[in-house]
Amino acid sequence: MEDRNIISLFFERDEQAISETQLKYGKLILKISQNILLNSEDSFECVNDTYLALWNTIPPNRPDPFISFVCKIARNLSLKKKRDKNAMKRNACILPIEELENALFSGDVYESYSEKELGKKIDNFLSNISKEDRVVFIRRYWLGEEISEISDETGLSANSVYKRLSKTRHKLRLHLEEEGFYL
Amino acid sequence: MKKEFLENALNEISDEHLAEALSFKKRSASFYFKLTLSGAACFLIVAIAAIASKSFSSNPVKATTENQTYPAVNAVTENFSVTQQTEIAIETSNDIGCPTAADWENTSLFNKFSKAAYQGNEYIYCSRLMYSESEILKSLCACELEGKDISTGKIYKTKAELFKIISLNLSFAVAVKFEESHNYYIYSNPEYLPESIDSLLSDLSLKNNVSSSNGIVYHEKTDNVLATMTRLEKGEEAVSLLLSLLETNKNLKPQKKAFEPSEENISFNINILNIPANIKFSKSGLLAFDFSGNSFVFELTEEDFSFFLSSVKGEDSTEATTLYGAITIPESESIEAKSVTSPAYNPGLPTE
Repeated sequence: MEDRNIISLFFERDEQAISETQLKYGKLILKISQNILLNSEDSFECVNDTYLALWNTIPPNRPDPFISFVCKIARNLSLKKKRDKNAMKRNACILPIEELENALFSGDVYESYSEKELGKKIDNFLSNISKEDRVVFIRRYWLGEEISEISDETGLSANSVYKRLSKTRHKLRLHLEEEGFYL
Repeated sequence: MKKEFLENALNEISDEHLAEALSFKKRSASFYFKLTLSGAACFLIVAIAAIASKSFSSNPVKATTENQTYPAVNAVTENFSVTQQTEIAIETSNDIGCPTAADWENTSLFNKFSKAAYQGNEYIYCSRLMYSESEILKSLCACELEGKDISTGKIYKTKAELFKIISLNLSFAVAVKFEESHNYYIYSNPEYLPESIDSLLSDLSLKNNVSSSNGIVYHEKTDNVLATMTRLEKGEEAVSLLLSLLETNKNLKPQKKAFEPSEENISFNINILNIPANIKFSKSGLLAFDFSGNSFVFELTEEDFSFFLSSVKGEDSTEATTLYGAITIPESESIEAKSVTSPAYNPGLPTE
């Protein structure tokens, strides 16, 4: 079913909206939650919470594109749950976000930007890189996907994904330096 | 803190970029075939031009490509030999209301073909295998898996090969290698039930295969997760503690029932090869294993639980030294269970 039809069902308060959303985006929502929470039980809870949040927020919202809205809710709920539980669930492995954190925040003192300001700068940076690099970056650091998974999804080799990420992190750091992020 | 800051900052990535990444389609095999073909054609033209210029040149240049053999472009893949087909039951994926994220082409292989069967056991995808095939894989047979695109109802088939993971019993898991992928995927049997703890130890070669995964030990009180949920610095100690506990109770038989939490519980995550499992241990002595949808419990004793817990928290009640390493748990939050009031409902709406 088309996204706009699903949104219409939400507006009509038709419960089929939930099942159609589940049908179309259920696996993606679950994947986002699992990448963040690393726990099946919590992830399934988050998936259900996402449907509830969609039900409670559409209307009045009429999101476009719907897929981004759904995924943002799933991600925010998962991050919230992870923080509530103080879930430092890995010791040896480095989480994707930590990879980016190490690249951007290692050593240097940085300006007291707000999250929003930094986010806008990252978004601007993403607009100026190649589509493949952008897709790989978002799938890794926003969705939290494994490199092999990105490789499967994009058709790029794992080595190429790794190199692209490494270059993009470096470029992003340079971009933020130019933007005066670091003191 | 920086991580949280960064996670929140990434929320500012525009919807258009997200939609682009989330619905990115990989180029089809035919694209690469065409690319290879056009490359080969260009090469051929250049080669013909070079030969022609050599033939018509009044001052012939010494040929540098003499006796060079050009590799033949073989666009046809090897025929797939299907053996032991009778032992394979074709399964249909995505029939339990867990749908594809986007369209069929944009879905990963293991999501498309999430079920396999071998010798009467049904398996579902649970993880990717990260080890070299020579060490742990033994080919079982070729097979054909079937998947259903639930948005269109169309049935797809793919060729794959099933492998026995040498250190795991067949009744627990197999590995699947799709013809179009170089990865090995672990499919586990959701109905697996060992005869006893002893057979669990041997079926999974637990002593060799188990490792600490998420490295946490936390306590929960029925529905409420406590604030005390700490990074486990010495996860391997928890694993050896678990193994010794299993060894001493190796004749116990499992029960296929849900875990019933008591007022105090421990829960932690481990990996068996690359298969994630969750272990739960309740004060009443129930020890539950949960492998992606498959769970069974053993009834240990309250003393076993106390022994495990005392090792987890260490001698000092305010400082968990044994397994938590040097991380100090505030006295108010230490081992005693504490109810946590549910936070106000926040749907986690994207910030504008």
